[in-house]
Amino acid sequence: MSLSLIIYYCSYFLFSPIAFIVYIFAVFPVLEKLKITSSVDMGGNVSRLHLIPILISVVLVSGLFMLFSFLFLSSIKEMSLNTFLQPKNQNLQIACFVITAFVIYFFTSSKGMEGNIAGFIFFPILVVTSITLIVLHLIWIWNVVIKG
Amino acid sequence: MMIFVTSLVLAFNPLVLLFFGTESFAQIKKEGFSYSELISTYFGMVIFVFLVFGIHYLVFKFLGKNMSFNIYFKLQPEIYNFVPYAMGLISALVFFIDLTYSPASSYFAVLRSLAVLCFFFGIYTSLVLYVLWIYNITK
Repeated sequence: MSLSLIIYYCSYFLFSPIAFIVYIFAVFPVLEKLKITSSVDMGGNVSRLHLIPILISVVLVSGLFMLFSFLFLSSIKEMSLNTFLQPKNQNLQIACFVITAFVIYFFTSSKGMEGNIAGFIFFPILVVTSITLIVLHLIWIWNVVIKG
Repeated sequence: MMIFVTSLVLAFNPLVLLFFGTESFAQIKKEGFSYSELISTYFGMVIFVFLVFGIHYLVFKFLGKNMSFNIYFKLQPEIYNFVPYAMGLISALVFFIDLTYSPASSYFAVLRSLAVLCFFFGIYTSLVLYVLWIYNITK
């Protein structure tokens, strides 16, 4: 396995923007409900998220998605695990993961994140990176699964 | 008749639920649950399915592809075609329970988050099958 592929998959499992969005909408409310401390309210609409729950959740969701998509796409067209694990446009994808890493950094920094900045600046950034990755993935599916 | 029955299933496509259902869900959650509101929302989604297929039909006709309108309602027998609808149905069921009973249990909170995850995966499978369908129609 080449170094670029290792870097790619480390970034994919740790900094997937889609998995982070899933964390915000699906996992974070459950953690709050279960009274598991996953954020710190710093007052004045500023709060800070804890890093460990985010990373655990992102790794699990990314892994689950990878398994699910492999099984689903294999049911459409037979493909080897090797073919599935060869991503295209790695550099652009890694750029999206790096942006997400910065967003997670700001959400978890000691100064906290103000609610309006999170909602109006960082969340749209996550949405744009997510859409980019979805489009790249659909292009890969078109070339490898459907036409290939 | 077959078209109408098929559209009742197609309304559970996660993409349809996403575009049409989320706003209605939020509104029902805010204003309180009523079966009439839910039924009218559901039939709104069925009409939305017809509208989307109608637009596709017109676009393909404009591009020179003359196809019968029935072809849009033909569910292919392969098992993977039913995955998005199964996921849409599961998440819609959980959201329905949330709307009607609003359980405060933490177990239900976990179930709800799994339903959201299921919903996201359903959207993914719908997108993939949509791209596959476009390819099969246009080749």
